Amino acid sequence: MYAPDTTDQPLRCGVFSVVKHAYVPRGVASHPRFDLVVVADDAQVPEWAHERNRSFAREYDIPYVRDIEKAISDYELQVAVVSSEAERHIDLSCRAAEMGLHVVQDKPMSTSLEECDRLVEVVHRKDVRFMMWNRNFLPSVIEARRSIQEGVIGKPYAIHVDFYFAKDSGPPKGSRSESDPPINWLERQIEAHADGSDGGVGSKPMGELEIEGIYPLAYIHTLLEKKVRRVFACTTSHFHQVNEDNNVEDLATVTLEMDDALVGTLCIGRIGAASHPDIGEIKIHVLGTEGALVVSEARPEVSIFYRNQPPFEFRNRRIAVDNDYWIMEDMVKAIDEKRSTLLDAQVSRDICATVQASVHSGQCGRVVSVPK
Amino acid sequence: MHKLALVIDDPVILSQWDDAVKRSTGVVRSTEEEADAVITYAVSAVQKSIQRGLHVLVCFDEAIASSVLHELSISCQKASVQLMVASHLRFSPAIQQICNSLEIGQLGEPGVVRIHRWLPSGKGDMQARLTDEIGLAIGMFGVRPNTVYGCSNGDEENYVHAHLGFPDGGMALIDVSLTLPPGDDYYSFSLIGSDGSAYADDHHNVHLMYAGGMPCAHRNPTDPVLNRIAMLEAFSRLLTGTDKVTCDIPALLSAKKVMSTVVQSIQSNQSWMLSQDGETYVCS
Repeated sequence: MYAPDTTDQPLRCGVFSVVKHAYVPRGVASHPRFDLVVVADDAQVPEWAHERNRSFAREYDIPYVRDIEKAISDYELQVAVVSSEAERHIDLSCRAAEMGLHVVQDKPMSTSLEECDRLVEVVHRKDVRFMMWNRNFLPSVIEARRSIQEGVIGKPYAIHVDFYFAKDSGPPKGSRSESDPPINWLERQIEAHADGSDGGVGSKPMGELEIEGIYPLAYIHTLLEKKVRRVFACTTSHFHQVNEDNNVEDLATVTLEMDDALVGTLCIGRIGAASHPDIGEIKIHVLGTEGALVVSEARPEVSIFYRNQPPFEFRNRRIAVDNDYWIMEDMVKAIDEKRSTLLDAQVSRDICATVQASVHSGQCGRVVSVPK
Repeated sequence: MHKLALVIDDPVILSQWDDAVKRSTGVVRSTEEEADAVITYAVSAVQKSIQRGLHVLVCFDEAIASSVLHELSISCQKASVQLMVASHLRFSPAIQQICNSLEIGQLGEPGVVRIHRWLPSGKGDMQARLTDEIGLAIGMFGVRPNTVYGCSNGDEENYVHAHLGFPDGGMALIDVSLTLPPGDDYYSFSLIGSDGSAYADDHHNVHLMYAGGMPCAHRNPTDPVLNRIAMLEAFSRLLTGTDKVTCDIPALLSAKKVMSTVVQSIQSNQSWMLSQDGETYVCS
């Protein structure tokens, strides 16, 4: 006779700021073991942030509390879901972890490596689980991982990832007249919320490496599990005026020197909506001693075409994607079994260190060691 | 109509060029005595043709020393003859399509060129392959890179990755591998420009063959004559003055220089930068 497992009670989650596109809290809510019970933020955040928090709370029919610590105690929270501006990520995550909450956090981990180190320390000391949001459970990535682990291509010796987002970001580079002021980063990001391209929301400008670099670097980590020791990068603002005005790149290439003489590379950019019919060319190439893998991250997909189709609607649509569920399944197992997640605080910190070294290399034109 | 002499020993290669000439407009095959241009593979034949004032389309099928190339270049200038270096890569149908889009401005300013050239072990010389691909990348940006970085997996004969930085922010990533199992090769070329992008990837161009078990990816065979027709048409435009030469000895020398700098970078474990003279690279 069936008997429900009473240990599988839902975990009570607080959404700590949801000022970006809300895919992280939505992803958390997609797993039956996680219940969103409250949205909370600090009282002093600007009104536009309060409004977004309120809007999300209304959508999920849960309260919005302007005091994070009060929300944690009043609602007996067990998990924090952090999706604030990037520069507030670590502060919110650390405060939650200090109060014993497990943390699911949006990327990037932080704009500061020292802040990442602080979170690693708190997570370790409080013995809580941490998950950085990622795309490692896409079907193509899972299959690539399986092939590599089964030794299909022998011992991997090189990996290359293309991670292009075919999105625009305001006016194109070179479109601003001399009499116009530079584009304000935060204002542009707030405006970008409408089309979901506000991944860099915050007052500190960030290039594509900082905003999106976690995804391809997390692929490399999950596929090969090697540390990056040195990087060489070229970076430029090639497409968008907002990047040019704020001195942050929208196009970058990085070479990674990893343990065991493994070579890695990364091409990343926000390359404009005209550059690809879908979200962008995202590919993984792996060379091994016995063969090679060429993987299209978007596949499997189906193509849909119809009369009066909006010009920028994706023609090819991913199928069989259950990334959100599997991220959270990994998180719940980590909590239940007291083990690390696939993208825990230390790994996320190391990826942040690789990104920071890459940005520095792009600026100085030299090979840069990744901070340990 | 340009009269072309084919000074080629290998009968198979000769036949392919002969087919290409027959299928091309603007050129016709002739004897060496009546020709105003030759196609050849031998340095000695190039030298002889230049002395006779004939234009040359040369296919270097082995590595030629830079000093010899310098001498040939000077000889061409003195004799006022045009010399084009054949490139099966540059004139492959896929790359031609991309070059055309780039040249007419559809893609805007190139930002990233990414090339994967993977071959089965024993198929080709690493430095020659790398030089070809570097030459192609330089051709896309139209200028020599100002930063060069290379690395390998410890086996430079079989795997090299080159990372080039160009003035105005352009960049190229090129990796050449000679470690695939016996069978087909793999090629992928992508160009990300400011207004558009181009992807020429074997991954996109395979058919599936079912013969039990997992399906096999099957590619259309390459017609070796098509590249040659494209080269002949470019050579013809060059001779009539309607196009500028893109594959010449200075371009080849530039690619060789960058290739050797990649090797130096691997050995020194550092990136190299173009010095003020615009010719030599120095370790950064």
